[in-house]
Amino acid sequence: MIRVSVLLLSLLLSPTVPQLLTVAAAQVPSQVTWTDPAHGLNVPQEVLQRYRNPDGSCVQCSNGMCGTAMNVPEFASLLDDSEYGKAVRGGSGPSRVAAYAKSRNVRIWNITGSTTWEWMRWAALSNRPCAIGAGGNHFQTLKGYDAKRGRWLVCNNNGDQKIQEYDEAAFRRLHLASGQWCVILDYPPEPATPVVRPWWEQLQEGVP
Amino acid sequence: MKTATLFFAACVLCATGDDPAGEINRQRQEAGLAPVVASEKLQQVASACAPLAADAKGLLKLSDVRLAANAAEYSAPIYPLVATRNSPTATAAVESLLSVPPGRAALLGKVQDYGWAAARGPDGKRYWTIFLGAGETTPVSASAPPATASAPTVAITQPTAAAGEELIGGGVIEEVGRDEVIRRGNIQEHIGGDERFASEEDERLAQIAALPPSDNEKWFVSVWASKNCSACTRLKELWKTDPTLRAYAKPENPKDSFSHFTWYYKEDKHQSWRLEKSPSNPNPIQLRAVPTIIVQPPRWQNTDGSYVYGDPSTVVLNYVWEGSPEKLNKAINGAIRAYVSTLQKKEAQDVRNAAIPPARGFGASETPTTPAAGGFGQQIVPPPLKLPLDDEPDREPRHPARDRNNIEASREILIVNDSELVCSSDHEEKVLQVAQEMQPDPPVPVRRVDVKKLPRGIKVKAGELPVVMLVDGNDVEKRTPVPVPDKSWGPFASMWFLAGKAIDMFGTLLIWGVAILCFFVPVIILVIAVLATILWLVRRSKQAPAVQTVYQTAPVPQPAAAPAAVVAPAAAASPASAAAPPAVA
Repeated sequence: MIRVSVLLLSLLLSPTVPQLLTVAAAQVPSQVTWTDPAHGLNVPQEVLQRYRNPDGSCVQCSNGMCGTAMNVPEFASLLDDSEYGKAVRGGSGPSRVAAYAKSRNVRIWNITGSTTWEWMRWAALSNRPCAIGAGGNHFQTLKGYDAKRGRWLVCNNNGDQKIQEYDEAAFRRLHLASGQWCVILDYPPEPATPVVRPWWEQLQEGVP
Repeated sequence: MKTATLFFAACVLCATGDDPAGEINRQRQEAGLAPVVASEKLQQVASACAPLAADAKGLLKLSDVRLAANAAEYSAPIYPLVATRNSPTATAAVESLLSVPPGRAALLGKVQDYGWAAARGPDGKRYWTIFLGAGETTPVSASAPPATASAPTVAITQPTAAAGEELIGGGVIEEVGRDEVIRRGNIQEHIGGDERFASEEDERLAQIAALPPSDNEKWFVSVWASKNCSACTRLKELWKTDPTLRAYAKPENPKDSFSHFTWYYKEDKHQSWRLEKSPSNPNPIQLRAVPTIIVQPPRWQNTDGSYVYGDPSTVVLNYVWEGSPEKLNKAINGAIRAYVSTLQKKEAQDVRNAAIPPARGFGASETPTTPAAGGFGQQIVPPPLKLPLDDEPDREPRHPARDRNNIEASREILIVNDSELVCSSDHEEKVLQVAQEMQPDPPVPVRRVDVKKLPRGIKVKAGELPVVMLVDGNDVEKRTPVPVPDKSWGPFASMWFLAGKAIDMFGTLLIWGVAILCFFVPVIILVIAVLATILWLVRRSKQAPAVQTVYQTAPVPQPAAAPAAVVAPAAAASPASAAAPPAVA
């Protein structure tokens, strides 16, 4: 009993736990739709369920989501054996990501250090999803940035695959909790989910 | 004269001393960036371009910027910004530019110097033209932040152009912009008079045809293909070399590409969800055949969040590749022209119906938004719609040119085929050739139809597929079947034919034999076994009572009368044996 109490106390006093608790308190489930064309990750939730983190492969899960969104099958199939290589499982650092991106001939920006803010903002504003360090020792996918409300939209890969919203301060804490590292695929952003609308009928009607 | 007046106005505004540098540098300082300094050359460029931008209500052609930059001998990349919201002060203009992604990216990008000018347009609004430069010594791209060379893991080199002019978004214009020529199509522009273009449609198309200065202004071109499709393979190879196709997209070089280009395979399990109906995607696109080219407008947004070219999910063109880059060029050009024209007419209607507050584009949400007060660069306000658009999943956009002109709208060439044969057929080109030969004057659109979805009035025999028909409504004017040819090997054709038939017959017999062995024989054995069991049981049930009856009715044998002479001595000899019962015979 004493041992358990000491363990809990030491955990609460450690620097990461209060940080995580404040992040958890600041995150809000988002009301944005999965296929909102204003954001980079326009992939439905049921498809993203495939990228549930099974064994500490959060980096590959996040990169896989980005690969699916941006039509890069070499990254979309990271978690499974495929024609592009064997499944990549387990924890990863920047060097491992660089290695498998190189072996699969995928163009990426692998950014560490203080410039990640600038890169993440650029990715969000140019409608590209982005795999980012988010939370203690964890990677998530940056879906986009709602410039009007100043909210960052982040998709987790730990099961629920829900979109969480963070304000600037909370997002900063979230990103710093994991260390400043982000991965952006160097490919064009995906088109919005196409919808057939008979716009030509407006033309035919002959607007006065 | 008008231009000269505006130029004068621009100069007057420059002379007032309302310099935007203060606000720009304040914002940059907050972002931890170095301040920009005034450049005499950029000031010349801005002064030359400001009247043009004001005259065109905020639209500024990149070719004009290039001309002005050449005249001023400014060689570094230039990021031209035009604030179109009639800002009264330089501070307000900078704030409006910062509120949109391209403006923010440029103002808070790796720029070193600036020039500015302001001019009043024909509508009385004040247009602020702010040109930012990367400095003539260190060209950098503002489209994406440069990678840190000293990153602790992998050194990544940002793709940059070694020579040529680089704009926002990284596009490099060749010495002769042939791509833009192809994209523009038939446009007549007159410089130096009051009217620059024959129509507003031309003007807008000319703006679109220029290489987009930023990533967000790029249109989307997607190709849906199949891995087992010869036409798809040919198209992919053609896109590497054909100048017409490359005018719209450069797959291997996204930076220099006019559009964001994506190549999807419908067999790809990671992408097939885009074609499947789901709660998130209730109306997926329907592919009539492969390869199909889909064009969608850019995600470029106004300051109020509305899209400059309407909802980016709108399908502007859904085109089945017919083997000709020129036809594709015409289709894309025609579709964009028609789409933009529709937007313009809606905009005009919006101005007239100013009392209706919500400004929406095609497919915009029903939630009313604040009216757009103009945006960055262009002022196309997505208009309100009279009625909500119904998204019919099976409905596919017809060729806009046909609908617009409404000439012989019902007359068309139909290529009728089984959907499974559309791509795999080896004589695809022959079918297209037949369709081309069938074209009347004036030409009519060509449409592929699956035999199952053929209108009721038109009948087709199964054996003649594929068939090319010139139809007018339900009346078939001309019909040319192009059936799949039999494989022939010269003089041995008949022999091969008979051999094939024999193989077919043998195969049929084999299948029947296997079916009999696997199914009929066990069934027959089972039936025989059941019958035999029943028969045996019947026979047994009949036999058992007969034996019992015989046993019961059998007469009890009587002991034979022994001769007294024999018995007497035995009984006398053994008294015990005399007491034993008589033996049963």
